[in-house]
Amino acid sequence: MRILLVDDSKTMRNIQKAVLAQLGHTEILEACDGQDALSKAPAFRADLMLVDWNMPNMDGLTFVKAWRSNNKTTPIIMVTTEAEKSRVIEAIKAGVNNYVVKPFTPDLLSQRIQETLAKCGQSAAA
Amino acid sequence: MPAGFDQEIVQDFLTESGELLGLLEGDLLVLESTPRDPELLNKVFRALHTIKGSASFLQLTNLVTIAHAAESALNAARNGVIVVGPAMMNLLLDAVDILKTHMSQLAAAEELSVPRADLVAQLAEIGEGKSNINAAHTAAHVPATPTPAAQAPQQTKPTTPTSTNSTSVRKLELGPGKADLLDYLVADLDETMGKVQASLDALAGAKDVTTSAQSLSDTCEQLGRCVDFFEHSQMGQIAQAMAKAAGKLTTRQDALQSVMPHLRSLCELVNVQALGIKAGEVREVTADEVLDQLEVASTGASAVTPAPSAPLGEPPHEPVHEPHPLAQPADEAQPQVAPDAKTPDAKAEKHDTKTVENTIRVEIGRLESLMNLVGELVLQKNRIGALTRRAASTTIADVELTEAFTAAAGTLDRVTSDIQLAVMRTRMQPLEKLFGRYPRLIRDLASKTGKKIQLIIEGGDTEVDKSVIEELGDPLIHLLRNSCDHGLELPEDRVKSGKPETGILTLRASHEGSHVRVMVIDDGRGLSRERICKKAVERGLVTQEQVAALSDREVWSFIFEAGFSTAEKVSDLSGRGVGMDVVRTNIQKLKGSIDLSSEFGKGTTISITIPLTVAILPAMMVGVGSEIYALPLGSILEIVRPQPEQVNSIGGHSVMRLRDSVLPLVDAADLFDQPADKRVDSLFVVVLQQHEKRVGLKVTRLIGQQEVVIKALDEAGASSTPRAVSGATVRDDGGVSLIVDVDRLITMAEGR
Repeated sequence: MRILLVDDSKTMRNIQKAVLAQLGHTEILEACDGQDALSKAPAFRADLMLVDWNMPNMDGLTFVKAWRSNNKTTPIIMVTTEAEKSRVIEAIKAGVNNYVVKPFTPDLLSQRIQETLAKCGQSAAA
Repeated sequence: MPAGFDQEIVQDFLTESGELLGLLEGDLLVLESTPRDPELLNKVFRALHTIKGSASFLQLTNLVTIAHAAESALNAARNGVIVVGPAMMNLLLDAVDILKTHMSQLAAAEELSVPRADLVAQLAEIGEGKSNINAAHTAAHVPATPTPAAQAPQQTKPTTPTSTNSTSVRKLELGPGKADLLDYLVADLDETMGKVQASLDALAGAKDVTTSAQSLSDTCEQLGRCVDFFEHSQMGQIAQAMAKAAGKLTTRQDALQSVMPHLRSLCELVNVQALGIKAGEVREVTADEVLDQLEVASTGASAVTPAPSAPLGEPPHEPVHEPHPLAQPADEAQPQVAPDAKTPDAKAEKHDTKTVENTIRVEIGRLESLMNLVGELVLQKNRIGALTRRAASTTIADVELTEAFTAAAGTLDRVTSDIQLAVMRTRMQPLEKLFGRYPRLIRDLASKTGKKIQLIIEGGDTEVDKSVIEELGDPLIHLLRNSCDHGLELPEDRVKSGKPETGILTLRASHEGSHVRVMVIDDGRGLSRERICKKAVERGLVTQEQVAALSDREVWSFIFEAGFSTAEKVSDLSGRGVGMDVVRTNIQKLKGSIDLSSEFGKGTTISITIPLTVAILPAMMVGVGSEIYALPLGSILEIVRPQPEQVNSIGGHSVMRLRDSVLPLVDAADLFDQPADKRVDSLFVVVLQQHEKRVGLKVTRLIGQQEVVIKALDEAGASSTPRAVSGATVRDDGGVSLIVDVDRLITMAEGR
């Protein structure tokens, strides 16, 4: 499965990559902010996007809005913090399919990924 | 160490967070003067946020605690609940200090200390909007946007659930990740339903149909995504259908009248369902019929045959487009323009971020050994150059071979120079790295002394060798402290002497040939010649009679004597008379020099000049008698061959008239005590300049330029006989030469 990982912190990307690797996902493309993700995403054709919220240049929410204006289907999971939870609804309205709160365990992320893919697969098949 | 994450990730975290903290501190200080700058607030917030996010994975609980507290306080500022005032800034800076401590603890693999509970509590209080820390500032400030909750009441007038003729109710059951958000969903539903209602009303008024329809479509789409997430699929379906119908209205306004009633009834149904969610219920309503009617109305307004009623759940089929004449341009323009407009921007950004990531960290030790090797290489290159010249000058030389040899030596020379430059550049860092620490220092000093000080930093992008950055740090702190403590006056004193309240302290760096000059300039009270002289006489450095004849420069130089201080009282900032002595020693270690000029009442300028690199020096080799010396090329202004009538003697000292000025002359043979019998007439005068002072050095022969590798002289040997020598080097012919210290030479010429 091809996963686009968008986070401005290299540390965070490495951590998430490690978690994803534990789950058996190795086809991962990294982007360091929304702008970067927008430029990389079309060619990568991700099966899933993991997007951080707070980033310089272009934050996760703006990225999701921009991406959704052309692509309604790519499953997107927003990576948020406890504090950003109050705004998750906003992200969902913008087109995020699910969210996961930092710090997450591999189990939780795996669960969220499956949940999201199942849901998106369902609506795509319906 | 938390399990599962290797040392490399921790190292990444340290590097990244260390940099972020540095930026964060700088930004906070800027924020202090522009506390409402939303960009800056965001930037600062983001930095903390990133640090906290990574730290939470590494299970650095203590670090997360303080970062979280500071972040929530900043969030309050970001949301306009509070304005960052001095008191809050102090708390934030304290938090940054703790984070820095944590970083060094983490680097040393120590246990992270528990952050101060009172600080965490105070910050948290600000975050919760409970603190009155900057009471005066916040009084007038009202949050810009009312919270959704505040808007809720007037919009929750529910349409009476009369239309719920057959409503089945079940409990809304959600997983933990979703149940958590339910409260937010409820608050949001009120707002969203309000918007839906408003757009419908606007549509009914038939004003701005396109805009209203678009906003209705957007809102309904958002609503659909939202309730879908909360596993309320029927409500989602209705919302999507409404979105779709409304979307069509943007291009087909003729359908407005037939669509409106259906939209209204669906809106009522959705309202009922929204109320259900509030009550924690999923209300399944009878909507199929209305949905069908809506479908027919919106797609088939002009069609003759009514569309067959599609069963609920079938994918809403995309109707064959009968493009409306008005619709076409808008339809086509939108999807195409948007992505195109973004591409160039995105590319530029991408390029930007790439440069950030294209760095690797290299252990200093490796660079250092590389530097040493290059030093040796330069020596050998010089040697090969010399051998080539010798080979060429011998009569038995094979011409072709010699030429090839010369060409190869030339290439070697060029390549070696390039390598040397490249290696040097790997060690270069912008002074910004150092200067970035000072705004905080000055801020603290200003608040401690009750002075108003503005620090201006210029030329922070000037690059110098890493070792220079390290060695320059402490001296600059001393100098800045001195300026703040002794140089700049209290605001009231400044006003009395007709200066603006705020003292200006400038830290300026610039390249000057092969040197870097760093200046600390204040517009304070300046040095008092009188007081320094008095002190100098007291300490027996000079007699009362000699004082009058001293130049300003000589008077100022007393400041650099160990234990010399004119401060009447010692503060905890400075005044113990240690500073300047240490400063001078440190600067000399860097083969640099320090110069001071001051005007009483106007201010003081201290300038430090340091060679770009301490290892390799471009030099002019000159012969003095039978010896060869190296002169730093950067200090040479010109070389002249004076006519006898140009050379005079004033007060027993030899001088030379050079165009319109008089140049003091020093004979190199005297300088290096050459025995009288070995002396040869010195024909050339090398004009040397340092710190805008000049001297002419008489030499016998000119040999040529060479890059010399500086080898330090033995400390004991150097200090026992103070000479104008800064080091020694191995020449290209294998011999040893002394390198002339121009600064000391000028001082000696002035002092005779």
